[in-house]
Amino acid sequence: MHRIDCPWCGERDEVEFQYQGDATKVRPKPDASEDAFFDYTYQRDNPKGWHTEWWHHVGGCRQWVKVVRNTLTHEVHKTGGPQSKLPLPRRKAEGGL
Amino acid sequence: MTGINRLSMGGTRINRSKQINFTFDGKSYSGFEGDTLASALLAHGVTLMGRSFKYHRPRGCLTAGSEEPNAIVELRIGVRREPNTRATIAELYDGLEASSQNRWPSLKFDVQSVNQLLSPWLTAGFYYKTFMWPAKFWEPIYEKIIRRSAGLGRAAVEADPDTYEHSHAHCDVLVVGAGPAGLAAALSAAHTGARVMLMEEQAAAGGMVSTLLDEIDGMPASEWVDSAMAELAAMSNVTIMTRTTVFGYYDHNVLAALERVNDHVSTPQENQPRQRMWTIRAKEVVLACGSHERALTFDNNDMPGVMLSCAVRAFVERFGVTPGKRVVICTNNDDGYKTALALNMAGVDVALVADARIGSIPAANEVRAKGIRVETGMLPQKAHGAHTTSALSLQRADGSFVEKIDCDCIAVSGGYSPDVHLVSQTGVAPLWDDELLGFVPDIPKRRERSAGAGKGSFNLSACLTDGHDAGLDAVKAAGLKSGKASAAPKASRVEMTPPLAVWRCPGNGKAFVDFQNDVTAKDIHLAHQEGFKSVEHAKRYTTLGMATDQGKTSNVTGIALLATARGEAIPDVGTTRFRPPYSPVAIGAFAGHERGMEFQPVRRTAIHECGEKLGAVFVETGQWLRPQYYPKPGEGVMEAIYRESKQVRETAGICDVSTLGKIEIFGEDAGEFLNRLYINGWKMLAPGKARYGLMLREDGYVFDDGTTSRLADDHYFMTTTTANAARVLAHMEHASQVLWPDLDVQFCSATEQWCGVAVAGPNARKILQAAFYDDLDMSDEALPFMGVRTFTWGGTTARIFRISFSGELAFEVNVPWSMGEGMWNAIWEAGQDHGLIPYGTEALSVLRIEKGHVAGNELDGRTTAADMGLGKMMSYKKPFIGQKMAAREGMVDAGRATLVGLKLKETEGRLRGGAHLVVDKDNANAETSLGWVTSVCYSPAVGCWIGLAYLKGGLGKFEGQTLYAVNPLYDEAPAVEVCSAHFFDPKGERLNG
Amino acid sequence: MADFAAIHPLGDLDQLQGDGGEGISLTVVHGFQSAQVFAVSGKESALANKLKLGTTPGVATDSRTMTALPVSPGQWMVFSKKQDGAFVSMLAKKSNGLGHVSEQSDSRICVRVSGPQARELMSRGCRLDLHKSKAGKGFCAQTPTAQVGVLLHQVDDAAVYDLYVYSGFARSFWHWITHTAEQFGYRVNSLRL
Repeated sequence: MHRIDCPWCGERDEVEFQYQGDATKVRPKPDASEDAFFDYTYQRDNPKGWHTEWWHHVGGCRQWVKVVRNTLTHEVHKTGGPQSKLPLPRRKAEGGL
Repeated sequence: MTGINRLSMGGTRINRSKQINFTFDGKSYSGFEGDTLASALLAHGVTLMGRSFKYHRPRGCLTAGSEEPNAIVELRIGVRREPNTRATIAELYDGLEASSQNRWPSLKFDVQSVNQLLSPWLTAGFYYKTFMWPAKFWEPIYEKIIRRSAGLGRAAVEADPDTYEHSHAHCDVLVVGAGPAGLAAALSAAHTGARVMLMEEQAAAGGMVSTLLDEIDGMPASEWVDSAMAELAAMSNVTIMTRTTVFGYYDHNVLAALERVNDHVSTPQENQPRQRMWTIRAKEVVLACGSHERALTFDNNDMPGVMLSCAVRAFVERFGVTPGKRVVICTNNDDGYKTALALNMAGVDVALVADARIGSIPAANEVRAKGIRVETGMLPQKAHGAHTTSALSLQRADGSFVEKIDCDCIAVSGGYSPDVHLVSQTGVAPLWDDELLGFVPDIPKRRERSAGAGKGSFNLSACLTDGHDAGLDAVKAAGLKSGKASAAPKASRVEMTPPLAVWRCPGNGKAFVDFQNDVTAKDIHLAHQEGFKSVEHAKRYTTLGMATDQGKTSNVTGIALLATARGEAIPDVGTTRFRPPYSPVAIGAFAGHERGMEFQPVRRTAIHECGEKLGAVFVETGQWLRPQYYPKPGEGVMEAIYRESKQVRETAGICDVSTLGKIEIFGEDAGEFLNRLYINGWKMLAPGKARYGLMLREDGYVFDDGTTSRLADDHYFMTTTTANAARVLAHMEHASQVLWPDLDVQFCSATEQWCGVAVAGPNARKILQAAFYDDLDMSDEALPFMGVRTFTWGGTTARIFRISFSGELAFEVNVPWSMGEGMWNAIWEAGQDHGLIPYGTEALSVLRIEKGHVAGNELDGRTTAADMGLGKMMSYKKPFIGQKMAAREGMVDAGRATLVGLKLKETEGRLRGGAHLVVDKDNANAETSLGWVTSVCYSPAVGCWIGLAYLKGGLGKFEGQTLYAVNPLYDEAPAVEVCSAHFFDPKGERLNG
Repeated sequence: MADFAAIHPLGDLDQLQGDGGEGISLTVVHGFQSAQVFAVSGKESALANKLKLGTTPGVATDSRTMTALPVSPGQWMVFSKKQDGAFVSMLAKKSNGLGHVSEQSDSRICVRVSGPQARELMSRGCRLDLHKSKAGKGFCAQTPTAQVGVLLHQVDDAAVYDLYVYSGFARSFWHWITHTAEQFGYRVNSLRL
């Protein structure tokens, strides 16, 4: 079970959150092309390793929490608020993966 | 003395002053408080405790702990009957009724033991090879035979009468196991002030420490264990839990444990749960899980009376029970000598210690000095006996027979495997240690460290130092101050001689590796021969290690035999991974309170009891309970729905609509925010007015609909469908927090602040005006269609919305939750002169279908606004979520299925949701389907069954035509006429009453 | 005109009974007013100053008249200390230009959990660390307890917790907490502010 450090509430159990997917996608401007919206809506990488994700803290402060997490080891590197900029770590995940 | 094998003294865990009576297979026995079922049976000389899984061979207990593969029994009778429990950990209580399983008609004369004669055909992969063909025989025939003959016990058939619960814990350091290493770790960590939890699977601490032989800090080991436990128990920063198995090690240092609160009594104490499941969030973990002894693999090594060396010692030391009167000990390491000394001290005859090793063995000298015969370079060849051991043949390593020796117990030790289950669950692949002949934990991936026998420290003095250091290391790693560390407990260091690898003692008979799943050395060899060379394949083919014991006593031997067959070293073969749970956990413990009425929370509206009083039948809508219909005495469902929906259009009805999602929205940019959420425009909506809105998902499909009102310039009040309330709120939070943080908009749910009722029908205004008196002017001028007012009524704030789902003159009135009943009663009273009736969700649905209004069935996530006939709502003057994707070619294709109405043309039968529409009912398939029926009802207003449907080509192509609504599930294909979805009052004149 | 009588989501509070045990005390606190208060974008600290709302997550601010629990950045749940029909309008007035106020007086019920085994009872459903070294007087959090969302406020350095539960879930939550409290023995009271 994951423990996720909500920037407002502190470390909480996974059950308090709803996974909301890829947080690297930026919504295009309204006048952007259909292709740009298609990409935003549907196209997702499925990275093995570090990934930036949304975990909506529905059981707590109801903030959309940005989480840099390793999809292989489940290690959480950093968390931040909805507008935070969280670079991926250069290091490998703990546990050697 | 209870039993012929009960020793006159000893037994640290039993209370000789308290005799306990119990039965096994209907026969009465007695034991002492503190006994396990296994120790009490052994005390009476009962060694036969079960039949094996596949061959139905007689079996006794092999171990004295939770790793037991043989002595699997049923405990209790009736509703509390529990199969597949281990006699070695089942604590005795007065009146315990236990029985053996997997035998018929009795344990001694088991008919299916003929399987042994068939055993040449019951080898590895037997089921795969035999029950292959014909496939249709599997379920009705083969599976039943296999299930009956396979050794699974019988669960109780009634609901479990006991309760189970969950509990949560947090600590700095979790110590798993209260053996010497665990105790030392808990002490050193606790002395720093850290919050320590110590969990022990057994009823008492001490682990594998020998109470007869070992000394710690200058006192007998059992005394040291007691004083350590007492010291820990007295510390406020320490929580000790016995009878608690840590069974799972999950991500982020979350562990799960099962506390057996009341398994050691016949029925749980009043108001106490039977078991409690713990979720532990530990900063750091010390794994002091100990090790598992392995058996030696020789012919008939599964004979009752053959027992692990440590188990023999445990029965003598803990329970004052000897498993036999005359014991032969076979060993490949020093453990056999320890058992010899313990037995000797307890006055039990040790006929021989046969050590596989040769050369100088210091431990042997000490045993010889007691006058016990020791032979080196000698191995067991074959156990003899019928239902229990009577003799053992011995051999040299080359297979040459040496002698046959009478005995009733054979204590065997094939070396020790560190218990790496939990560390393996964290993803660490254990490392092979060639000197210890066991797998030891590799570098941790989580915040844990192993200590003691669990990491391969088999020497007591090393265990203690290890544990002590691990406790301090954990404190340091948790970022806590260690202060002045206490001294490590000490034991004198014993010189140990390394074990000798003996994986198969020479022989051609049945030599078992995995006792619980009846896997022999030959089976592993055969699997290899047949090409199952990878350890994962061999495991699945032979089922080695796949029983509920997960191969605790057998995996290493199995891997070693596979390595021998492959001609490779053990590390090259590798290991399989252990998975949670460490030992079986009852489903009831996982469920905890969450069953029956507590399966999931129920959400009730403020006026639930008003509905109840009027005889409402309730329906679950998500977690909410809503009145579905209000049957009168003698009235059926259909009649009630018909009456309610008819009556609303004739006089008036009242309906609980509190479950709609309600969201209060504030801020300067609230209008702009709504503009971006909904497809239609909101900025021009005047305060005091409501508007119907439709939201899309980002992919352009319809998400939700509802009415939103403007209460003030910067204050809106949104309603959502009951089903989507939580999703809409999350969607809005995404929009405001992630997409447009620059907008000044704030909102929160107000669903439970307000109780809402809809009052609909021609008399609605009259009724409400009577209820309100002078508190509100209900005239059309004062409250026009889509008008909203806030007013004071009955001493409270009320909101009224003139909106209609039914197409009738209708209002929704909201008051604060606590006033809901007052509101309902006031309206109900006022309505008595005007034919007011209560109506439920079914009539609500009839009324909206008659009007062609979409609801959940039509908002199925695959439809566009245009599909619903709402395409014109889409504004092109502003951007909104889903706009771009809704314009894609496929989304605006003229051939899409669009909303139409259907009328059943036949006088008999009915329409059903889910039916597919076709032109030719004799040619109905996926290709010829033109669409599907979403909602149906019998309409009092139209006078026949009607429905809403999505139809390719829509009304434009099919209006007035006849199609067939094919439903293969009911073998029905009634004829239907396609019509407008606005069945009733298409011009909307009734909205004005 | 008739005045509507307020009905508590748990029904007639006088009918609620314990089992006579002493381990747990459950007190249904009622009669308070409450509201969710939001700051206008950029006015968070101005609003906090004006209404004397603390801005540290997880820490309640207590004054003579009200308790404020910060629930999210720029958002507070505010509870009156006594029955005061003008409480919410007073908050709205004071917040004018700096924030918005959504009346929530009826949204939640309050169950106060105390007694010698209160912390143990909480551990049966609450996933947070309520150890005295981590949570003292003023500690507050939103967190699911068993399966129901709870706004928790520790009102004393001893283990005394006010649990605010959505009215719709009130009876389900009451069922869970009384069922769980049976192992400790419990008393039931109500307290009208």
